Amino acid sequence: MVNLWALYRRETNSVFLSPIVYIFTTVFLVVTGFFFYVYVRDAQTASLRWVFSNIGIILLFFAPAITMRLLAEEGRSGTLETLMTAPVTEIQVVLGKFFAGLTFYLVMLAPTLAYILILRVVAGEVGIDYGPILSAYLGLLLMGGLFISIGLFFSSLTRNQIVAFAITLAVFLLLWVLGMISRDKSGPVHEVIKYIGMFEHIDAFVKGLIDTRDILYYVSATLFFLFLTVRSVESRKWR
Amino acid sequence: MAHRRHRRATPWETTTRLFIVAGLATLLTGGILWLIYDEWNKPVIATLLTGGVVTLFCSAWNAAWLADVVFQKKALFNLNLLLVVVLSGAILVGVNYYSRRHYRRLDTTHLSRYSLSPQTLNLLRNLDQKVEVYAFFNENASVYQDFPFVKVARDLLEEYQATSGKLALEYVDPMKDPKAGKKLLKDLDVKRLEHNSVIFACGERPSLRTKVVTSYDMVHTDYSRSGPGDDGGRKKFKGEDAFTSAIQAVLDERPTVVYFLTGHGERQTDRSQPEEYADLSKELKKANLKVESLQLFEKGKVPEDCSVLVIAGPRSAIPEKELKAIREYLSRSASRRGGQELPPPSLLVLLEPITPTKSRRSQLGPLLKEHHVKVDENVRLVDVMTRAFLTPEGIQAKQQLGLSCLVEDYPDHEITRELVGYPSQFMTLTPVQAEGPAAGPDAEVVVILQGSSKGWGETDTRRLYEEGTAEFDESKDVPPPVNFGVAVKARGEAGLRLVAIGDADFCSNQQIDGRGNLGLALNSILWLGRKTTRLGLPPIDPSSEKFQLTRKGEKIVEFATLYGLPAAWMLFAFGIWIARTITSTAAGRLALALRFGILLGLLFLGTSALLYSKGFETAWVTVPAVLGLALVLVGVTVNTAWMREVIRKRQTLYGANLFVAALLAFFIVGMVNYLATRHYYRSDLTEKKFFALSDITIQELKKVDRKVQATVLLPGSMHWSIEHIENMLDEFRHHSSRIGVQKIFASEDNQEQIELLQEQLNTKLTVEDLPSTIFLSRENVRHVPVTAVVKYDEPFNPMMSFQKPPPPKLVGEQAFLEAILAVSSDRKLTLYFSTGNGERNPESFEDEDFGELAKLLKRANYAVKTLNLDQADSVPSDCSILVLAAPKRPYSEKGLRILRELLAGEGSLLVMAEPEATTGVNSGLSSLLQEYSVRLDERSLIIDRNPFMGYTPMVATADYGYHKTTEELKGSLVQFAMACQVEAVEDPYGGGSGNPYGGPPGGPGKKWNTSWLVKSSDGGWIDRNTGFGSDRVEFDEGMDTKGKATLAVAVEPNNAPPSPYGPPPDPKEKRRGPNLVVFGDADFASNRLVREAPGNEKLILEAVRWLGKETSQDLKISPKEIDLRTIHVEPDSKIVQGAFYLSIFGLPGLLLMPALVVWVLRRR
Repeated sequence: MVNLWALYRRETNSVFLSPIVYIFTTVFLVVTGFFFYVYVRDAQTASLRWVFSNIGIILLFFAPAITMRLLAEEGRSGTLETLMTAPVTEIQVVLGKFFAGLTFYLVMLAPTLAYILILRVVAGEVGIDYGPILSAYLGLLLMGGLFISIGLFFSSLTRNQIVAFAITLAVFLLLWVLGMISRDKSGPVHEVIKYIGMFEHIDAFVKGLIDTRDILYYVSATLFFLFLTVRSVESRKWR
Repeated sequence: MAHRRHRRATPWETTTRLFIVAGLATLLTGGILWLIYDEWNKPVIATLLTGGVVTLFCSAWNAAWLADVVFQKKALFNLNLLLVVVLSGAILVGVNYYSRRHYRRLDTTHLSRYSLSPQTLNLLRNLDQKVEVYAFFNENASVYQDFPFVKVARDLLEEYQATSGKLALEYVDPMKDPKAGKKLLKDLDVKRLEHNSVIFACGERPSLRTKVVTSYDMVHTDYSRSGPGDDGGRKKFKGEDAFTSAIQAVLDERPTVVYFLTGHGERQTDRSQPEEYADLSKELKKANLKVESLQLFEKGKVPEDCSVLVIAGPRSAIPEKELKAIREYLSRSASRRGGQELPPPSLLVLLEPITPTKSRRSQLGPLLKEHHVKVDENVRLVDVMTRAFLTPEGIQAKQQLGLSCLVEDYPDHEITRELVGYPSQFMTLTPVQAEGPAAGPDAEVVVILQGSSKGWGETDTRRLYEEGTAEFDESKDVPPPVNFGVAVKARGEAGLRLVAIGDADFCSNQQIDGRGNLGLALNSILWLGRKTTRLGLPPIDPSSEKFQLTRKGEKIVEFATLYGLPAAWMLFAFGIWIARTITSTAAGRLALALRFGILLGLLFLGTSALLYSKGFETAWVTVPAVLGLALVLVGVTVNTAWMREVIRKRQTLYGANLFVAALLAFFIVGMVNYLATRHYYRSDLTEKKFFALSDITIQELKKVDRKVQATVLLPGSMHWSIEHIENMLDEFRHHSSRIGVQKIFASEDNQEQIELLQEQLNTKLTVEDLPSTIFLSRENVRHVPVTAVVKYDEPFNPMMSFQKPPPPKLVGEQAFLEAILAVSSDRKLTLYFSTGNGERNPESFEDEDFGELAKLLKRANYAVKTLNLDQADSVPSDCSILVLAAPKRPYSEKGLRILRELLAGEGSLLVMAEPEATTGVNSGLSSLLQEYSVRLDERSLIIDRNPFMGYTPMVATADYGYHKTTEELKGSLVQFAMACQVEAVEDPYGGGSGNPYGGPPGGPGKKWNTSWLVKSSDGGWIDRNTGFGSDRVEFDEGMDTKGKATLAVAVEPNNAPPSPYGPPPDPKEKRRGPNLVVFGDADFASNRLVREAPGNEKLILEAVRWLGKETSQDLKISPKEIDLRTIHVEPDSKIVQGAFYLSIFGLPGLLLMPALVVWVLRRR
């Protein structure tokens, strides 16, 4: 645990003391802020459902950028080998990086809490239903975990950050588009694709429904990719 | 082994190893083919076999090499890794599979929006049969505004699906995939379906039970709430009630047999005559009921399986023997016989009053009285209605006896609860009263239908039928309001149910089309048959989260989210950056704080500037400005040394240098782009030259010699015509520097500009007009609404067809060019309104006058003047069009001479005649118009058939001939009041529809080309015996003519080619002459009707434009057709599936193959 904490601190320090995280978050806030503004102006509805759905899509593009350097950079600079000579296990390394990435993701998401306040002010007497907002943030947290774990896995497969970014983004886009295509289709193949599609599961959270199936989907898929990442890091010994 | 590893492979070995890759590729192809074909056909088997054989053979040939590769330590590790991954993947799948079957859901919404009611949950959890649900939702429903709850309905249906594994949900978008939609409807045996409906089906085919829930069934309109607009804030979603009820209905396997009594002149369920019940029978079958006829005289008793007995409008007395059988049926109780449960008794009685065609009572009175229902077929309900009548002063409202009745407010009962908002229409009514208390000891008696507060039950029906008059007599008649529908429910679940209604016409083939009438008939029978109508689950209000965003609120959101939050975050980042240079001394900390203050100050100054630009009040701007300035000044003063140090740093100098260079580069790029927008060249590479202007337009634009400002008023939401408008205006601007373009969004922010535009146009712009383009040049203004830019060949109603919208024609080029030429020209057309013969006054705003029309004309850039024909010697030279509007005195010889001179001089004449029935005189124009092939019959009066008012001299029609004047009117309704017939004589096509531009080829020798413009509906007649001041109109077979009547005709010189296929006539020999438009009515252009009916405004303005020869018939600019290049493929076709599987499996596999080839070659 101590090792994990040390690895987590090392990673977060390197992230948060560089200007990248701040520039990145600023760009993210400008984009999401635009969507929020347009939605409130046009729909005039005291709900963030549409905004959260869009944040999910925006994060699809931002998450690979968070994860691309986590292991690929270590591999390229050769520090991963050095790290592995320290008394830490592969699991601790992967989890340290995963939680650091997740922290970055959550820090990026945190300023969007201000939207609730802004909406509360402009909605006046109509008031806000906080339940769906709470469940949407839970969904975004779980989806973020899956984003980071998938990105981490692809970052572990290559020493090139750009390749890691491109593959992660391609996989995310594929999962998004396939889910959309299969949305109105029936049949076993489409049912499976629909289930695999990450964004089909966030819908329920955004609506205000917390469903054990969706939670289990995100948690199990996150654990699966973390496991693959650990195996991938381990396999470096044999290469 | 080591030796083998280092030996270089022979070419044959390399080839066979490559064949392993090829074999794997073939296997992959075979797999994809299997997915596409979904069967083991020859191509699939052949491909898989080939791939398998090649792979196996080549692998066997290279067995040693493969073993070498596989049994390496690294390979073994990889294999181990693969196994672990596969195993963990299997665990992942297993866990997710288990979780799909055993799960919990928590609804966090305030109103538990996604939590189903206990009734629904109970029903779904106990489903023991598969229920198929097909949601025919159109994803554009919200765009068309026909069903705003698509998303809510989808959410709810998905909730149903999540709750029960027995419920299979499928979405069908009939607009996207019409063929699949039609096929499914055929499978489900549903003949007709409205958009945004859901079909519930249960059971095995062919005895499949289906229930259709339409969008109407899912919407609850709260009529007690008055919201802005038509339905604003009044609609709620009651999908759960509708869906759960539908599931209950399809699960119900009990055969419900409805028997219709026959033999006494009752309505027949197998006949399609207007008064019969074939349509009702179809509707009952759709509701899973079995319909049978019953001859009691033969059978002697009501069959045991009878769930509902219907006695529908008997015209003769029912014999005592049959009444006895009915009594026996009504007195029986639900019981089991032969292992089957017999349905409890239910009776629906639909009565008619005694009329000249029905002279005998049904004898059902005593029987109904036994069940607390009192009827008297000798009494007829008479209502007092307000109708329009012709008088010497024009049309006036009068009260009249009405023999039909429209019910809009229903007393509360299970039968009528769902009918709120859907009126029912009844024709011949007899009172049906409840006798005794509403809740008696043995039965509950509820009134379900009631007449108006003015209608009474007339007992003197002989006078009513013979003289057509009736007066309320307190001593004899039934006082208002008169009940004519009663529902009786005996105590106990299996007790008798009875519904009696005093009209049998309301559910006849002719009348059942109305949603109210059909609903009443169906609900009555369903209630009697103990079938679920509705559960009464409360509706939800999806608009409860709606709020009104004020201008200030919008600014807050914009400022806070677009600028505030990112800026605050940047500030936070700078804070961290500065904090990293922290010193331990107090002075150092202070200096640091003040350095941070400089940043904060700059932020405040930026905020202040932003607030100023957004128009915030002075206090909002001043406070951050002062605060920011103070922080910056103090920070800079205290940190002078630090700043000097920072500035002197080489990095800072480099940074500043870079900043200046970047600024300069930005400026140059900006300038280049600015110049590029002013001077540019465009090349339209599209095959059909979609964006390029025609040569005619380019030539015409060169002639524009003064500034024309085009303002595009854009709607808040996207409209696909915007692209066309913008493209066209860009092109116009490109070809003429005189054209200026600006765009304004129709939002609150631009209210002032919009108001100014409306003022210039002298009219209010409506949402339907948007996107609108307004052309202004000096005092001239011209409005081009979106309907003039986008045209459909055929009217398209997205709600009524299972079709994609037809591709529209984009005619912006012509519309804009016409507008530009009109506003940039000093030529102003002048309309002279004839006065002195009692014509309508263009300066008065009385209902019947023409003030509004004159206003419209001025707005469209016309000058309006008046002319007294008796005082003038001739028509003034500046007269473009002379208007004769409903003269009340005949024109003098002098007046007619002036008119003849006008027409001989190619002037244009607009005649709006009135029938003699209103003016009492003949205008004397008939002979003049006859010379121009127009027959004006002022003695006639056109009578139309209004679905609510019956026969009336008010004509509402949308039947237009093909003529330039009526092109814009497709889909609009025009209204005429008291019109006479106008006909084209010598019409070579016998009043046919002509052709779109300039009428049909008139044939050699025809001088005038005449086109009919508007006709009345074929339900009315042309009346020729209605005198001046009459207040009754009746069809007279001897004099009147049934069918359509022409209301307006256009005349122009015939310049058509001698034959349809012949060459066009030589322009030099073009026949010249006047243009005439003759209307048989003047009221249609009166202030009242122009204000009320938008179609009227269009019609009269288009007629004036045509008469003024303004329509650019000579320009002939081809419309732009959207080049969609639609590929017609079935969504489930092999080609689409192939593309799908190839993209997700084929392409990645294809990429893998070169990698394997490279790998094989490297391992030689």
